[in-house]
Amino acid sequence: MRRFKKILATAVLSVLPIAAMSQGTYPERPITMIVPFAAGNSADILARVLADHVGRQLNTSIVIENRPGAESILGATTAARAQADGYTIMLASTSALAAAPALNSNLPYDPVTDFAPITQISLQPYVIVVRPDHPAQDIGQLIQMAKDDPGRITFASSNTTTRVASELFRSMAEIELTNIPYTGTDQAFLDVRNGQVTMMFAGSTSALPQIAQGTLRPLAVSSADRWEELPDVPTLGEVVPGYEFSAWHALVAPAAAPDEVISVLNAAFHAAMNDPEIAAQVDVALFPTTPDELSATIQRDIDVWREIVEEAGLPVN
Amino acid sequence: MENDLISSISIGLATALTWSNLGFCLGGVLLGMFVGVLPGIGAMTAISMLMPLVYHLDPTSALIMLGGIWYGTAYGGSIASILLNLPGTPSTAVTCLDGYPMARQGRAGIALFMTTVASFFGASVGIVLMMLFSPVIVNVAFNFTSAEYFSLMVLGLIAASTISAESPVKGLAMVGIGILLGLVGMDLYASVPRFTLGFYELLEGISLVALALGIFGVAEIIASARIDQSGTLMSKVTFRSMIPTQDDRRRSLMPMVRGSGVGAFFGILPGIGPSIASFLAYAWERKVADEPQRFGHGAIEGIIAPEAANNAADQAAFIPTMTLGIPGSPTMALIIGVLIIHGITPGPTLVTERPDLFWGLIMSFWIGNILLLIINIPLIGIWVRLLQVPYGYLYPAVVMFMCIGAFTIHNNPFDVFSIMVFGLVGYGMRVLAFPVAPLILGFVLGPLMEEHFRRAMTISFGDPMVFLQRPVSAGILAITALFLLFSLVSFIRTKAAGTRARGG
Amino acid sequence: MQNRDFQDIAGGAILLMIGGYAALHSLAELSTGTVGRMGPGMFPTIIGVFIAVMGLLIMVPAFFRSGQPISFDLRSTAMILLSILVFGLMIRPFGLVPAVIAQTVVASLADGKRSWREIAMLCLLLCTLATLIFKLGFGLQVPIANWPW
Repeated sequence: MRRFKKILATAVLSVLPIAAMSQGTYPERPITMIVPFAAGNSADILARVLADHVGRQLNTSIVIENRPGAESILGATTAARAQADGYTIMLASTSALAAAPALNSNLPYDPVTDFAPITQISLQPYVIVVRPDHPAQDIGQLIQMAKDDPGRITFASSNTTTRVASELFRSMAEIELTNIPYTGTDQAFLDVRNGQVTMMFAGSTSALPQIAQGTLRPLAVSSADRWEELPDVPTLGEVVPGYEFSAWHALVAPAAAPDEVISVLNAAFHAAMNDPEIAAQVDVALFPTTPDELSATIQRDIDVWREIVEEAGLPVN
Repeated sequence: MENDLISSISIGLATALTWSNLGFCLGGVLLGMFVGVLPGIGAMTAISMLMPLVYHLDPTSALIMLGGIWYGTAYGGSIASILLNLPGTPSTAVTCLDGYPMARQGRAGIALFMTTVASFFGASVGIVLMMLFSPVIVNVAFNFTSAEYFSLMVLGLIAASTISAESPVKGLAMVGIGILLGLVGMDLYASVPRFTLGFYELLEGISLVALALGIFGVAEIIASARIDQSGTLMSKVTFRSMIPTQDDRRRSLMPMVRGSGVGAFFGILPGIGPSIASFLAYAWERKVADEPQRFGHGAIEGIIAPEAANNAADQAAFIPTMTLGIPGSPTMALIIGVLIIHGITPGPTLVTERPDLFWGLIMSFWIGNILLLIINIPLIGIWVRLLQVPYGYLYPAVVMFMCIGAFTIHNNPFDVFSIMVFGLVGYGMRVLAFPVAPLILGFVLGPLMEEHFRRAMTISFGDPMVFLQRPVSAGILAITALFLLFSLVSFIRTKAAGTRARGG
Repeated sequence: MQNRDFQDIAGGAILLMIGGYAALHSLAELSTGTVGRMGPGMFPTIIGVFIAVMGLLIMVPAFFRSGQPISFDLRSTAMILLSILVFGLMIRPFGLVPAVIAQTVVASLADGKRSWREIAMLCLLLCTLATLIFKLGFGLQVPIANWPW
């Protein structure tokens, strides 16, 4: 009896993929997109706007499933263990795919082997800001001040990503900086503005309005190129050769997802990201890539993060 | 200036009083009140649920509706606290302490009526502050650094231990346990997990909602499930039974004023919210009361002050959000997100650049609060009727609402198991006669205290004098010292009086 | 009345254990740092010691006075907690309606005064309410009912 069941199961299992393929057109039912952030978070909004567009393109619906908590680890674990049939995908960020692996030695998932990359979604460089009346007129002067008085220059970090961005700057510029951690961007901004803390790496969404109003002054941007909105602000790489740092969002599926599904989703999300209406609705720079490019980015950033974490002496759990 | 104000008000009214905006305001406050009643489900859930809709609305209408949800929850939260000893939202947890005993004495109608009035009063104070003094207030908030926050937390914790007077030692012990629970999670500075017992779910700490649901709600159900209460609670629900007595009215006035003041002050400080405001308002009332022993047994002051405080704080929280662009809470951050989607930047220039939006929003707050007042009073009768449902049917239903509410916090059963554990803890505390409220306050204040202490010390490069060199911080610490001294003296006096009485 | 205050003896002892554990654990596992740059272990150690001292202050005097007996409702505690447990275990694999039914039945056993008919009616009502409010209203991200095997 047991034997019979086994044969039956094997038969059914071996027929299933064929059956699915013979039906041909993916997707045939709604797709679940796991978002490891709370509803209403900026990444969640990004996910919803894209899901809406892609759902309409593919004649199905993409259901957002918010699984926030533990710095994206919970959501990523769920996604890694989901069925690799192309009906579960995840919109993750640097947190789940680069930060968590660098900071935890025994994660319940592996960012490289457990996921099949689909496309990068966004690229979020940072801008270094100080209070408007700070004596340093440019980033070079700030570095000089840090060299003259090691450790006196403080930086605010609002999460691990901005902390690592700052530590990378510290190590490449060969200066000493003191880290003042915050639970969120807002109190950090306040303390930079009222002079409690010298500088911080801030995201464009929250920093640009404050720069425009003159309550914060930009010294440098962390991307390889200058920003359209801040043409006079140099890149950090111009002063500290080789420096480049950006956070990102990316779309991945469980590792064994069929290639066909990956290419369908890649094309659909690219179409959505190239729609000017979508670009106007989200507040991040969209950055479509091929699966291979994303795979390289993830691998590179895990290595960069591991190095920084080790060099900065951050504890690994 | 006065002409300015009048013209601003008329701009605001012109915006707020359009039919569509009135509709959004009404929709917002009703939804807010509804989610407020549901345990575990709060403004965050309702607002994020409406996010997709908000894209397509004009920003003023969107904000009017979201604002309505935000302050509507505080009205709804107190209903569950009073009737079922179940905090609908964490900021109304302290209302359980005296609201529930009032309901048990058959005074649920009065309690609900008076919290509605106090809520309205508190909200009005918050709105007036926002209209007249936004710039001044923003300066205060702007100059609050970690040193001031730390001093304020110390004051708060000292006040916390006096919430329960039965035994100050037990109160202090519970503050300690609360702080310990608050420390669970990833340490901000060193990024190492503390007391997570290996659960990834605990990396970001214990959820305040789960903790409050467990130690108040679940513990109450365990204690009361087998006690047949039907009929003892409320014989009749008439309009009369909601009318407060002369004595109630006399007792309520000053707590309302003081509560609003406490709430407005804490509301404007980013990172401090209505929960802390309501607890401290309660602690203060207890401190100034002639007969502090009435508290915890249905003292009306004990529901008036915190309700005025949390509503004032809810409104005042908009001040830093709108004028500094600095949201004080996750919900406020969502509201800023809505503004940004529409290309509007909150900040000092908002008031001059978009007067229709700023003043329209303020006027809509008032209209929303008036709507809440009007809607709430007839609804009280219906809510109180809930107590006539035989308890044997009611309590499994309440457990269900708590389970689903806990589940929705992270869409994860982990928080359901959390309320189970905290339910056991809460029931154990009841059995051994430990007070619950100081634990919650310690939970909220403790981690903030540690965070700000460490930050202030790092910024000052290890110089502890920073707390005394900054005048505001030094002032708060001086008040704390006086408070301690005063408590000590009165404690010794009562002890002495007690000994004499027993001896004689 | 009992010749010792067992309530406070038990309460103080539990606090002593919790505080002691917290302090020792923090000292052993986390670094305390210096006052200027506190490590993650400093604050919990202080709090742990504080709790333990409070526990002693509660426990010791209780040996020398009379007090109320401890009354603990085992049936109610067990059934209510169990009902929450089954809900938490069932909600993901089985979906909303089965979880609510199981939870309601177990919770009803706490007072045990309802007939099966009444419990069934209550289940029906609560399932309808839960589906309407949470599934249709708030778009709760679990299926209404599911068979995991």
